[in-house]
Amino acid sequence: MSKTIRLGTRLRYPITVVSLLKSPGDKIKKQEPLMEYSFKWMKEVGDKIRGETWEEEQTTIVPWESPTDGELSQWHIAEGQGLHGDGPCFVVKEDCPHSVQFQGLCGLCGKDMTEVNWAAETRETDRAPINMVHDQTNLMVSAGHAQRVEQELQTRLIQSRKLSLVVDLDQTVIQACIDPTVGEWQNDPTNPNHESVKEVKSFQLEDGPYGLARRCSYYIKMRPGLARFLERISDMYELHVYTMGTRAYAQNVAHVLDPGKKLFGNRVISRDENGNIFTKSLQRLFPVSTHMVVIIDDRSDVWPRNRSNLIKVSPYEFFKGIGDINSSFLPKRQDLLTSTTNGVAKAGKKKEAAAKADKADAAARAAIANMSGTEDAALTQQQLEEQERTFEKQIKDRPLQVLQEKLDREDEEAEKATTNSEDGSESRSSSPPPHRHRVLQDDDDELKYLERHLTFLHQTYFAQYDDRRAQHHTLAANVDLTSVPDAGRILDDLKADVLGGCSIVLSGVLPRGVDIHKSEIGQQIASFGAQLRTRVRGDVTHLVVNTSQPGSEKLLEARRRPHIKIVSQEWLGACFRRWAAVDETPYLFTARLVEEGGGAGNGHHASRGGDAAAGLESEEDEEDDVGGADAENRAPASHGGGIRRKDAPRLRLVSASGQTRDVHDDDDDDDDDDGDEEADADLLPDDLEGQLSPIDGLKTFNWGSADAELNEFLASGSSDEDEDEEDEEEDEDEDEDEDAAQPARLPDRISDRPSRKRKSRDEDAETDPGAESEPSAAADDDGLQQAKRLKESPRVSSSLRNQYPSAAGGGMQNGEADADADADAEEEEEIDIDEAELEAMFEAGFDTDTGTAGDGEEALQADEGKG
Amino acid sequence: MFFLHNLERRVTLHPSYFGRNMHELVTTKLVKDVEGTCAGDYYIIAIMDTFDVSEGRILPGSGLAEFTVSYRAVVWRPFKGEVIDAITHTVNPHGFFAQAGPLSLFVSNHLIPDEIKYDASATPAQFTNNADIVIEQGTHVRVKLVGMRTEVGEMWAIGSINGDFLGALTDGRRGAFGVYVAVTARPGTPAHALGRPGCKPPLPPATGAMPHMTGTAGGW
Repeated sequence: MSKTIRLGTRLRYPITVVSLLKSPGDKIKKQEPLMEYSFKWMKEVGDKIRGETWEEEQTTIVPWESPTDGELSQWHIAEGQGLHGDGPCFVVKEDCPHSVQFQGLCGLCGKDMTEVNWAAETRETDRAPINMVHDQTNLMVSAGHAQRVEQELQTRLIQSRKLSLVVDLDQTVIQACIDPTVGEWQNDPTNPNHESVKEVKSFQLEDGPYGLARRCSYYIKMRPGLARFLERISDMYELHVYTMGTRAYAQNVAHVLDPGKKLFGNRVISRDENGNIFTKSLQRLFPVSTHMVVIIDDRSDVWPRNRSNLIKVSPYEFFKGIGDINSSFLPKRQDLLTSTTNGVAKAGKKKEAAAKADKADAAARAAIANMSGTEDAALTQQQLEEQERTFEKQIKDRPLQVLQEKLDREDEEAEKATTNSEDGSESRSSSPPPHRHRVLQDDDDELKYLERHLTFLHQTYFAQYDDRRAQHHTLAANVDLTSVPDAGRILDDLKADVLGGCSIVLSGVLPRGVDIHKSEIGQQIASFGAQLRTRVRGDVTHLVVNTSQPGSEKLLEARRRPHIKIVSQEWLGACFRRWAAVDETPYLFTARLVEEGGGAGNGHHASRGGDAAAGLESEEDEEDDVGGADAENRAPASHGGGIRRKDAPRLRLVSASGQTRDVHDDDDDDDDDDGDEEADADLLPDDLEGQLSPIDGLKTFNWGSADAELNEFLASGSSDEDEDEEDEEEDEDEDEDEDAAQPARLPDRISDRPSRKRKSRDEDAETDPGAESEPSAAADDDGLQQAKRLKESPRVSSSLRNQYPSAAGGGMQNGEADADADADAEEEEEIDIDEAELEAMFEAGFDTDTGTAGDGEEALQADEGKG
Repeated sequence: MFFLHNLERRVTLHPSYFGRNMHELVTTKLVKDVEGTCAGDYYIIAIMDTFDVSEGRILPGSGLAEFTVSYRAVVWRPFKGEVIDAITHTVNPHGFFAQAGPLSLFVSNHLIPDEIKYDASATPAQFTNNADIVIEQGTHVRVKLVGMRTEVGEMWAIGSINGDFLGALTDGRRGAFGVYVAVTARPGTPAHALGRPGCKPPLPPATGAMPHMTGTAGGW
C-alpha cells in the first residue's frame, strides 16, 4: 500500500528544502509538518507617501504538512535541494487506502471522508469514484478495488463456465401495462381474451405514481416460454436485471419472474440506482472489463457505449399499443422494423403518441445537452409528471378495451355481411359468437431464437477461451484471466457473417434527411455484415421496402434489374432475429406497379413512365415463377384495377391481396391524395402525346412576349378608357359575326394591343414569367393556336395586327383589316411622333372604319353588368 | 447508547385550536413532530413527558401561537466503538448492509474476518465460512461501530465484525451470551416512533446502560 506523495502545485516554486523533520520509518499524521522549505520573494519596502519605495528580496521558511496518515518509508528529496516545480516528495505506507466508501465514510477505517483539509490537494472522496453495486448508490469504490472485485467475479464465472447476461425487462422479457381492462378480462371467462390474460401476473406498488394512477395494478405478461428460457440460460449465464423502471417496479417484476430469487438474486438495477435516466451503461456494473458480459435489450439506443455487447431483440408487444410503460424518460424509439400489419390500434393512436413522444424526445435531448444539476432535477420531475399523466391516461382511456370493442364491431359487421340479417341479430344477442376475435395474441417466438443465439455465443466464447489458454500453456486447473476473450468481439464476429455478401438498399423505411449509416437500422445492417447502399446499382442484392409506403423510384429501378430481390422490411427483422440470411420468398414484396388503362394502347408508352411500366411487367413475369401463390392473386387484381379506371392512367400498387394503392415518389409521410395529383400532373401530357393535343402549341409558345403585351395592355390605364370601350365594341362585333363566344376575346385583345403600344419593338421580346399564368389560365384552344402563330412572326407587335384577320377566322371584314394594316403602317413610319398624336390618328381610323360603334358599346356594358 | 434526555422545542399551534385543551394539543403535536426523528447525532426514540409548557405567544403576521415546551425523551445515540445488534438487508461483494433501527450501517469485507468469504453462487448471496456462520439477507449480526457520520436528519455508520463475539447471531451464540433478545418483543418503544415504518427498533447494546441525564440539550 505504498503511495508516492507529490509536493503539490500550490507551493511558491522555486523552493529550497531546508530541513527534513521526519525520517523513514516514522509515523506521520495528516497536517503534521514533515519538512521545511524556503522560497524567495520580492517585498516592497520604503515610504509609500514620499514615493520612495523599492523592492527587497525576502527569504521565508515555511513548514510543509503531510496530506495523509501513515508511515514514512522514503524521501525523494534531500536537505538543501532546490526544486523548481512539482515532483515526488516522499513515499508513504498509508494506514488506509479509503478504497471503499459508504456515504462519505471510509468502509475500512470508519473515518469521515467528507472533511476537507487544506493540507491535501485532493478530496478523500475522490479516491473512490466508482459505483458498481446494483442496489445502492451510496457505496463507492476505488478503481483498484473495483478491479480486484471484478477479477474475483471473472474467476468465479470462468470456473463455473458462465458469462454475465444483463437482461432488460420491459418489452424484452415481459410487457407491463396498467390498463384495468386486463384485470376484468382475467375475471371474465367468457371474454375472448381470457385465455391470453390468464397467466398475466399483477402487483401493486406502494410508491407508485400519485393521483388517479395511485395504487394501480401492474399487469405483467411474460414472453412466451420465458420461464424455461431463463432456467436454461441461467446454466450458462449469470443473470442481471437492468431496467429503466423504478426500484420497486424492478423488484416486483423480478419477483414475478423469479420468486425463489434463484435466477437474479439481488442483481437488480433500476433507474433509481442507474445515475442516468436516459442511458444504460455496462460500466455502471462492470467498470473495468465488459469482456464477459452480454446484454439483451429491445432498444439499442439506450446503450450508446456498449453496442457490441448487445443482442437486440425485437420488442415484445402483447398489450397492443401500450408499448413500454417505463419509456417516458427515453427518447422516442427510431428502430421499429415491424410493419403495422396487426396494429389495429396503431394507425390512429400512433400520431398523437408520436407528437407526445416528440416532446419528450426533445426534452430528453435538451437534457442530454446540458446535464447540469438543477435543470436536470427539474427535468426529471417534469418527466415523472409526464409518466404519471401517461399512466392516468391509460387507466382512463383503457386502450385495450377500446381495441377489443373495435374488433368486436368489425366482427359484427363482417357477420352481418355474411349471415342473413333475419337470425343474425338474434343469435348475437343470445350468445356471443364463438369466434370472436381477440386483441391479445400470444404468438411471439423470439425467445426460441434468442436462446439459440445465447447458447451458440456461450459455446463459441469458451471454445475460444480454451484455445487461448492452451496457447498460453497454463495449467488446466488454473483460471487464466489474461486469455479471457471479449464477448462483444465474438458477438460481432458471429453476426458479421450473417448477411455477408448482401448489399442492401432501403426504400421508404427511414424518413428523409436521416443518415442511413447512423440510423438504428443502418447500424444493425452493418453489424450483420451487409453493405448498405444509398442507390440501386448493379451490385445491389436486396431492396428493402416499407410495405406501407414504398418509394416508387428505387422500386422501379430495382424492378429493372432481375437479380435484385425486393423484400419487405420484415425480412430484415427476420434475419436479425434468426441470425441467418432468411429465405426471401415469403418476404418478397409482391405488390406491383401496374399502369392502369395503359395496357390497351401500347403506342401510348412513349415516355419515361411507359418505359418503366413495360420493364415492370416483364420483371413481374419472372417473379411470378418464384412466388406461385402470389401470381394467382395478382392476375385478377390487375384486371380489376384495369377496369376500374380506364381513362385515368396512373401508377398504382397492386398488392397480393388485391388492394391497390397509388404510388408516389415521396419516400415519407405524404398522404395518398397528394400522390394522386402528382401522378396526374406528370403523366397526363406524356401519355397523350401521340394525339394532337389542343394545347400542344403551348410547349413551343414564348409566353414572354404575349405577357409583355398583356401587361402593357392592362397597365395602359384610364386614359385609354374610351379606346378600350371601342376595342371591345369590335369584339362584340366579331362575336356576333362568327358566333364564337368568350374564347375569341382574348386573342382579340392580344391582337389589339399593338395599337396602344408606345414602346419600341425590341422590348416585346422580353419575357415576363411572373405574369405567365394569366393568359394561360384564360387561354383555350383557339387562343392558343393563335398565340402560337403570333409567336412565329418575327416582329410581334406589327404581325399581330397583320395576322389578325386570319386569326379571327375570317370573321372580320376586309375593310377593318385594311384599316388595321394602315394603322400599323402609320405606326411604323411615324414611330417618333408623340403619343397623343398617334392615338388621335388611331382613333380617327377606327371611327371611320367601324360603323357599329354605338350599339356595340351598349351591348358590352350590359354584358359587363351581368358579369 | 440510550439516554433519558431533557430537551426543549418550540411548537406552534394554529388559531383554530385555541381553547381549553391547548396544552394537550401542544403535547400531541410535539410527539407527532419529534418522535422518531434524527436530531443531529442522536435519534429521539420516545417522549416520556413534557414538564413545562410555556405560555403561548401569538406570532405577529401569522396568528399562530408559539409555545416553548420542555420535555423528557428517550434518545439513542450510537457511539463509535459501541457494539450494537443489527439486521442484514443487502449482501454484495464489497460487504453487507445492515439496519440497526433507524441507523443504516455498512460492514465492508475488510472488516469481516478473513475466513468468512463472499459466496455469490449461493441464493441469496451470502458471506460464509462454509461452516456454521452464514450472513445473508435477514441475518442478525452483532457489529461494532467504527465510524459515524451525520447529516441533517440522517446518520450512517461503518461497522465491523472483526472481533470476538461479533458477527452473525446464531442461536448457539445467543445462548452463550445469555441474552436472547427478540427484536420484535422489545417493550416501551412504539414501532411508529422509529421514523422508518417496518424497521425494527434497536436493541440495547450488550453493555448498554441508560443513565438518566438531567442536563440541557447537548450536555451529555
